[in-house]
Formats: sequence, C-alpha cells, structure tokens
Amino acid sequence: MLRLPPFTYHTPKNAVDAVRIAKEYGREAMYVAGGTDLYPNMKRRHQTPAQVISLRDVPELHSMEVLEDGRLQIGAMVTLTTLEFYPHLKAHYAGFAHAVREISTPLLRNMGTIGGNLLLDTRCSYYDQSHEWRESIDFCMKSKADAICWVAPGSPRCWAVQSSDSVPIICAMEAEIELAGVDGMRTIKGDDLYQDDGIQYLTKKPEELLTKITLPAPGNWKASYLKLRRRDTYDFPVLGVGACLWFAADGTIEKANVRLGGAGSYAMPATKTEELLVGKKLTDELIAEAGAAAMKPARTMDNTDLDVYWRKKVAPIYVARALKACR
Amino acid sequence: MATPNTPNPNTPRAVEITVGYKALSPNQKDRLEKIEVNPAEGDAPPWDALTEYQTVGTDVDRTDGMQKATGRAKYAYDISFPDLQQAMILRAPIARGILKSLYLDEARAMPGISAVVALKKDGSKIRLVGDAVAAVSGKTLDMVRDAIEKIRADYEAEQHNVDYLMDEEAPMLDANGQLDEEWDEDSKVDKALADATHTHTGTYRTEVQTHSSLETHGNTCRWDGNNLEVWASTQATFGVQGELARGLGAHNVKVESVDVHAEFVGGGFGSKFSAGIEGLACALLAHAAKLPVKLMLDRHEEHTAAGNRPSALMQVRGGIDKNGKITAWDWRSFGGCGYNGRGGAVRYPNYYMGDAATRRKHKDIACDTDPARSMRAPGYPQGWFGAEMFLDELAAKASMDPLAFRLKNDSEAMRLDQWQFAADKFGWDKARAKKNDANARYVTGVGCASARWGQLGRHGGRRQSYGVTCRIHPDGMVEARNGSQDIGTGLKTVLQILTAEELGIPASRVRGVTGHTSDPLGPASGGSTTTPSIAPAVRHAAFLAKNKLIALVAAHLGVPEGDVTCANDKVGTKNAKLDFTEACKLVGQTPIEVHGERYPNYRDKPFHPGVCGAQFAEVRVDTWTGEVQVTRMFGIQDCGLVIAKKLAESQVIGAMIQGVSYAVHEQRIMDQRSGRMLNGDFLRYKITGSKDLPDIECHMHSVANGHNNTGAAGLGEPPSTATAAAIGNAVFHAIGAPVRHIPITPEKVLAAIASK
Repeated sequence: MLRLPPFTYHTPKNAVDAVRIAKEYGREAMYVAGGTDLYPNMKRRHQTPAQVISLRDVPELHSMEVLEDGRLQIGAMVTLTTLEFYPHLKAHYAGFAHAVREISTPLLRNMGTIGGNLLLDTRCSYYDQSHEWRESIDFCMKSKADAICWVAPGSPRCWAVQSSDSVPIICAMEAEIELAGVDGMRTIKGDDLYQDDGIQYLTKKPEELLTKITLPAPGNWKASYLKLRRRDTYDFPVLGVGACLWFAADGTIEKANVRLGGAGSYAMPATKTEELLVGKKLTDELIAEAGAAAMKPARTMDNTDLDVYWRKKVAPIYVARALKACR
Repeated sequence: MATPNTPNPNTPRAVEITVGYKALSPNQKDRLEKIEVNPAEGDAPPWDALTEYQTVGTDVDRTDGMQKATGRAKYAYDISFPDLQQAMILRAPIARGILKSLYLDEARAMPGISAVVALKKDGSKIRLVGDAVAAVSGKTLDMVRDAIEKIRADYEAEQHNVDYLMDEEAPMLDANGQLDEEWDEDSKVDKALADATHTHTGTYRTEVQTHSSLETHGNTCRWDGNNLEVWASTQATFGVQGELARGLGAHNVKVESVDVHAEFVGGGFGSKFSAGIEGLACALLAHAAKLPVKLMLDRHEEHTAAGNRPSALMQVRGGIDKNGKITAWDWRSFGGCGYNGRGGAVRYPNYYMGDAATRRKHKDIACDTDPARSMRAPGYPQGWFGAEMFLDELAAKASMDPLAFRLKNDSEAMRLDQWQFAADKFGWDKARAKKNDANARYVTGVGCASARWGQLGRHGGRRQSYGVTCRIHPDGMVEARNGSQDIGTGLKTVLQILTAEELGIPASRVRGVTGHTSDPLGPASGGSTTTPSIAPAVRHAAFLAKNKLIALVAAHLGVPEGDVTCANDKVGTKNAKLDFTEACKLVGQTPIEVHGERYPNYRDKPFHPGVCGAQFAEVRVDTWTGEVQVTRMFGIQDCGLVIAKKLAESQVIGAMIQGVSYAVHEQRIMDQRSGRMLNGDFLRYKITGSKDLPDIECHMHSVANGHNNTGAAGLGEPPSTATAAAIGNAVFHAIGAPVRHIPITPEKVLAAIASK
C-alpha cells in the first residue's frame, strides 16, 4: 500500500488567505486543486509538503465567465469535466475542448482541474517510479539535489518532460494567466509561465496562486491540439502539438504559434515551422513543409514511453496533422 | 423441456443419440451422425443434436450481472467484520540472495499491531524482488505500514539476472533478432526439408504478460477455535481448503475444519489456484491476533509476485510440397521463466502437420523473477503466434492465400466448416484481394488463425466425484448449488439455465449458488474445466428433483407417476395439470433436496475430442508512424453445447480483447540493475482500453458432442489461442513484412517496413 506522508491541511476561504499561508510556510507548502497529480506523487514521495493548502473553498477559483470583450475567463478550480461539456467551449474553442478531452480518463477529469493541469509536474521514466526503485538507483537530481540525471548523466540540468495536454494549446493560443501573489495580482502570457528546466519548470514564485486562465475572444484564429501516446484510452502524451493560426480575410496566415509538448521540459515553440507559415496560405504543400521543419526542435530524450528515435521521427507528421486541423 | 431419448431395449442402458451439428450456412452440409452411448444407471438421459431446448442456448442474462454492475456483489475484498485487522507483507528488495537476519520485535511493539509473523527463516533464499519475508496485521493499513517499516531485515545479495536472454543457456540472436544457431541433424526432417518445394525459417518472440485480474489476490480469515473460515479471491475453493489445512496442520487444523467462500471472484486467468503465501500469512496472522484479518495484495504486488504468462522465443523451419501440403516441420523453442525455471513450455497447432516429418524441442530458461503461473491456455497463444505467423510466411513464399493454405492442411473437419463460414462472414476474399496503393500512407490488411483446446470435463477428484445439490422449495423457487467458484465465466448462470431447462420452468425461478466448500465438490477453474465438469451433475440433480416432484403430484392426483410430466411450467397429466408453483406447495415444509452426481464421461468416442475455432482480424497501419489499429475482428468458436449464449459470447469476446492487448500493448519491463519490474501498475503496464478496441463479433457454434448427458466442453481458453496470431498475420498482410515479436509496437512496424 502507498501512503500519504503526514501533512497539515489548510482550507482558506479566499485567495488572499491562501497566498498568505503559502508565503508563511514557504517551501514546506503546496497548493492542491483536484489532487489527481499531487496526492499520488506524495504517496510515492516525489513531493512531501508538510503544509497542503486546499483551494476547494476559494469561491473565485470556481467561476467561469464570458467577458464583455468576448474573452473567456476560467477559474483555476473548474474541473476538466465541466470544461469538456461546456457548450460555449465546444462552440468557440473546439481545439481547446479537444485537448481537455484528451486528458487522462473521465474519472480523473471529474476530479482534476484546469489550473492543476496547467501546473502538472514534469515527468520522466527515472522519476515517475516507486520510491524503492528510485532509492535503488540513488535517486535523480529532480528528487535529490546532489544526484545525477540518469537520462543525460553528464548534464547539469534535469530533462523531465512537460506532460500536460492543456499547456501546448494554451501557450499557442496566447491565453493569459492570472496569478495572485503577496503584492496583488499580475497577468502573464501562457508562454511566460514556463521555462526550460525539468525541476524549475514554472516561473511563478512558489506562493503565487494561479487563479484564472483567460482565453482570447473568438475571431480570425483557429487552434488545434494533437496528442501522441501509446493507447487512445489513456496515457500521458509523448508528443502533444498545440497550434494556433491567425488568418487574414483572404486566408493568408498572419501569425502562427506552434508548441510541442512532451518533447522537452516546456512546450517548446517550433520556430522554423512558424516562420514558414506566416504570410502564406495553408496549402497541402505548406503543411508538409512546415511539418518537416518541426523535426529539429523536437528535442526528445529517452525518458518517456515509446522509442526515442521514433518519437522524433513522427513529430513532423503530428505537427502537419495539427496544422491541417487549423483549416 | 428437452425431449429425452428412449433407451434401446436390445442392449440395456445403451442409447442411440445423434451427434454433430446442423449446417452453419446454406452452402454447407449438416454433419450429423448416430452413435450409441452407455449412460450410467440412474443418470439423466442424454441430450443430443435433435433436442429442442427452451432455455439452453438462449440469451439469458448473467444471473449476477446486476449485482456486479451495481456493486452489491461482495468479493473477498469487500468482506468486513467488527475488529477486522488489515495486513500487509514485507517483501524482499533484492532479486537473489540470502535473508541473513530478521528482527520483528520492534514492529510487534508498534501501536495498533495485532500480529507479526515471519514467512522466512534466517538463512532462507531470496529468489525475486518481492519475495515474501514477513507479514503484519493491525488496526489500519497505515499502522501496519508503519510497523512494516520497523522490521529490520538484513540480506546478503548475490548477482542476479532478470533477462532470460542474458542467461548462459540462452541461444544467440543475430542483429535482426533471429535465432542464430545450427540445427541438430535429424535424417527424417533434413530429408523432408531437402525435398520440399518451398522452405522457410523464422524466429518469433512473445513477451511476459501479467494476469492483471481486476481483483488482486488475497483473503479474509476468521478463526473459531480450530475452525477456520476463509473468504478468498480464488479459482479453487477446494484447493485452498486442502492447501490451508496442510499448511496449518501444526495448529491441529483438518480439511473439515476449513471453510472457504468465494461467492464472487474478480478474475483469475490461471493465477489463483493456490492460497499462496498471502493466504497462509493471513490465516497465521488471524490465528496469532485472535481476530479476523484481511490481507489483499496491492496492484504492484499483483504485477510483480502473483504470476505471469512467461515469454517465449521460437524458431520454426518448415517446407511444403508442390501441392502446398506441409511436409517438414522443425520447431525449437525457449521459455523465459521465473526463478524455478518452469512453466515456459509452448505448444503449436499440430493439426496442420498431417504426415509431415516433425521435430519439437523445448527448453525452459530460468531467471531471477516471479515464476510463471498458468495463464489462459498456458503455452498456446505464444506458440500459436509463432506457428500461425510462420504458416502465413510459408504460404506467401508459395504465393498461396493463407486461408486456402490452411484449408489444405487443417486436418480437423469441424474447423474446415468454421473457416469457410467465418471467412464469408468476415468478407475474407474481398478484404484479402484489396491491394494497398504503393504510396498509400494508411494500409489495411487481414489475417487469420485457428483456435484449439480439448476439455470435455472431469467427473471428480481422486477420492470423490463432483456433485450438485438441487432443492425445490415449497414457494416454487429452485436452488442449484455447487462448491466451485464462479470466476466470472458464468457458473452460476449455467447452474440456473440447466436446472430451468430440466424442470421446464423459467430461468428466473432458479437460483445458482457457487463458491462455498460446504456445498458438493467441484473442480478448480483451470483448463476450462468448470462448466463441462459440473453441467452433467446439474442436470442429474435437477432430473432427480423433478422425479421427486412428479411422484408427489402423481400421488396428489391419484395417477401413476409415468403419466405425469413436468414441462412448460406445469406438472401433471394431459388432463389434470398444476402450475409448477402450485405443485411445489405439495412439497410441505422441508424442501425437496437431492444430490446429483457427476458420472464419468461415456466411454464411447465423442463427436470431437475438444473444441475448434477460427478468428479473423483486420488492421490499419499508418506507414508513416508505424501505429497499428486493430479495426475489426470476427471469431467463430464451438464449446460443445452452448448453454448460456450471451455469456459464451462474452467469454470469446473477452479472450479476443485480451488477445488484442497481448498483440499490441502488454509487456513487462524489468530493470536489470535493481532486478525490479518497472511498470508494475496500470499506467505503465499497458492494457488495451475501450477506445483502442476493434469492432468484435463472434459466432457461437453449438455442437452436440455426445460425451455425457449435457455435452458441454470448455470455453475459457480456446478463443485466447488465436487472437495475437491473427493480428500478427494481418499486420504482415498490410505492410508486406512480418513483425515477428509481440507486442507489435510502432517502432517495430517501421523497422519491418524499412527492411522490405
């Protein structure tokens, strides 16, 4: 049996209190939303916060609202199931709704939240293992500061993989993230919440609370998400392509964002692909060419399910498919 | 009610019956023949091919389906008592070595702990990561876990190996994964190969598959003096009873003083024959604690220390003559086993070989992992994958259609009908003729494979025959009881349907009860024996109970017993009939209770010594990414008499689902360095889920086999032999190159395409 380590459970009633508690305990504290990622990780001793701050009783995190300018604001505690079946999302954000549906299983989507999914821990074959096994290899640097990285033993950094389905498309869509900190609120772009490190994969301060996600108003853009994994039924992505294209009236691409999840420690931009797309029309030839250009940025390492070379090899194919879905 | 056959007056007790089956389709012939059989005196007269059934073979729902779907069914896992103690096992962290010393006192002193028992002595061998060392029971699992962590166990580790191919006895493989060793000389086989028009050779591999039963192993034990009551997740209630009595002999326990219950079992697939160390540990803890104890394995323990289907490495070389007949078949195989080096034997479909010169060699190779346990047709899916794929490759060399090739070589007449029927249903000719565009990204392919098993049921153990109790209650309810377990295959429903058929009443009025050792003896559910073994006794019990009811009604009406029938929910003569429930009121306060006996199968030769089946699969392969989607499957399967049609189909479809999973997903991954299994959970140990499944259709082929009064044959295992092989062949057809190593993963598919 796997057990939770002992911890103190806090149930603040508003965001300010939540942040205050987090600040007070510093590194000892962690927020918990749905708990579908944190609690299993705690059972395997990946994280052992002595103070767990539940966000269940913070009302403002549970709301969902279409703003006057047409943007959609989603509270961090909104469950993935709620989003999946929200008609407005299906009608205007089909790509994002699809990404939500690709997360885990219905049971876990009933518990899991969008905020939690955006902050999902990075994953690695050497890290997401039982405590006993990790102990037998004397851990890796993601669990223990002085340990090595087993994926790239000479490496000074951790290569754990960004594994959330919602992150690549959120970044591609340029959704905005609202964070509550001790000094009040700040809003950042999705891309800016993440950085290229398997351990410090978030840029936010530990006590900062993700409160809301704001999706851009429907308009001259279309987004898509395509997930590669072993089983359609449920598995983490070994590649997740989030794409968002902005079109001029004549169909010319004005702006293109393509993000590769599961291919590195953050949802990395396929810059070459983006450059190829801008100023052109989305023809079959362009799709193939732009897909092929995604081979290089896919920096796959042998630390997820499925063969590493194969994962790199199929990245262009998945990028092309995601682009096609933006038509 | 079924019409009984009249005894032949010339030879006492000899009965002429019709066996076989009616044509599967209009373009096939009936295959019916008359045989004479000798039923035991007092047995129910045999059913045969001409019998008209009311309930047997119809779509009766699983009798406990609603209980299971709504959570009302109580499994061993659900059993609870006041003061129930929870328990866990401390498992060894090394794959090979010695347990030097074990200190339990500190654990005993922990709060809430009721008992601690050592399961190994100092100096005992440790043979795998997960070997059971000690067990602890206590108030809550958290307390038990705290105490487990206080046990100090010192080990002396030895060099281990968890990959059988790294063993010095393992054969060498070349860069393409093909077995790279000379064949021993064999004049007959060598000559046949030299004379053959086409020859071929290939090496095939399968990986370890864990049973992955939804309910893990374990039990709840409660003592009352020297009497022990056990609620077990088992596929052998009587086996567990005997095993625990032997294991607890030191505590003055006899077989009669152990009562085992397994009313509901969440799957076993061959892994749950034994009470196991977890059963004995639970009984010992409960004895020491003087309180009831529950010990269930967790999912990781279930994957790592509760058995598996071992891996196999097979090489075949064979040849055919100019007519496409197989003339040479040379087979050598290796089983990748656990520490005991047993259970890796593989079998191949020998009904294709006819008069060919054949040779078969096998060697099991041990490594320091969890030993093999029998798993749904042990040795068959592995061997069928190798052999049936080899057949397709050989047929390709001779430019023959794989189905035509099989029709030429298959020596079992029943399956020849099945091949043709299933091929028509599946649309084989059209699908096989369809050419994939040379530059197409998505390609499709179809393949087929045969299924085989031979189980006509046994009549009892060494000392005692199997039996069934049948009770007719005064309120019109009828009960049929047997002590064997229903592991999900549907024994309860079988008891219900057969009893209803014999009595001529609706199935809803019969209750089938299984899984208590206080009821008559039944077999372990292994080798597909349960239904074929129990069914004749169910009938016999119902037959005896019916005769008793008829006697009561005859006395009531004042007519001879011979004039009274019990059919169509009525009991009586032509002119004076009582409703069945009215007739039951004559029973009085004590129910009619009879014991039905399982007589040995008729000595005479049955229609077929086993069962046959055939399966067809269609796959769609993305040649850019190598992803394989199994899109469609069709299976035909006989099981002698089809008793519960819905449940039988469920068995076949379930086997095909498990086969899809085996073919494209399942694989145990071991870490050579630590000796541990790396994917001992359902996230990393990949089992096919609902969204990855093909459309599956199956046809149940009911055959009157004439081997006892019912004629049921085993069904659990046969359909699981063919699936992986059929899928492998479909992939071969789709991409034009064989993937000879399951699971068929995308990278293997791309490598195969590149090798063309």
